[in-house]
Amino acid sequence: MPLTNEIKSLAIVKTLFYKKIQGRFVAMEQADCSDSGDTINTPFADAFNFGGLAPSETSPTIIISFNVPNVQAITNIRLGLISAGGINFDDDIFGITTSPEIRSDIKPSKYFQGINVTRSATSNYNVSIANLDNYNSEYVYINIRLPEDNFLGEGVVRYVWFFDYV
Amino acid sequence: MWKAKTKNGKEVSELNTKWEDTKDNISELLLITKNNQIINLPKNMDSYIQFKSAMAELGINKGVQIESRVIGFVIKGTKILIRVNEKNNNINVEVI
Repeated sequence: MPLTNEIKSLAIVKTLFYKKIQGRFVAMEQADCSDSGDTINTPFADAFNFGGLAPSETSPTIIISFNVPNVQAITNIRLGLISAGGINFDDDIFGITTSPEIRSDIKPSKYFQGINVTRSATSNYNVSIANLDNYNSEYVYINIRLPEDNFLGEGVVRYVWFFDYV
Repeated sequence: MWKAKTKNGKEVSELNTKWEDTKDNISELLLITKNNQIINLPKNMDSYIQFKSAMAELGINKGVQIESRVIGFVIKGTKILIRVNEKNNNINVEVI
């Protein structure tokens, strides 16, 4: 279905996640949207996954960023936790830290304070993410520190980006 | 869709003009909503604002949704935003 001109600017919206390969961080593109349903491509979907976690286990830190290349600028970027994947929510489980730098030694030091169950852009539980430039967010470090009495299945924790753009 | 009139009388819209190229040269701004309402802002304000708010679910192909379209203006340091919900065309006024 052809898109109108004003929607076309969101033809490419990406979550980039980063893997360290041979000592260097490499961005893996993961398209969240495309202007053609036939070309949506998530070759690394499985890689953005905390995996299954046992009680009291802390997941590896995942480094991601947000990229919208075909607009003039994105602003007011926020990340919301919309599903805790069945974990009994507490305010010291879903870690998050942002930084303009990408480094192995940065670990999440803050936590989501609630679940944005209504997917509201104005939820106080959303975490603000600064811009790296007009098209990219800063790097976001997320992890999960599982409580003693919970297991976590794969791929059940969900996040949403909120943003403004021109 | 936003439409504007520049200070030299030229009519532009988001179909043919980048906001960044014209935002400092606007004397009139209006928004046409999905249900064809026209929201006119006062003329000759100190400056004008336009943006859209959207959301994208991370890591899965649920696509990107435009949540709302916003036009506004600044007068004497106060920012007035008119936000139109993309789904139901509800209009909210935000004063910042």
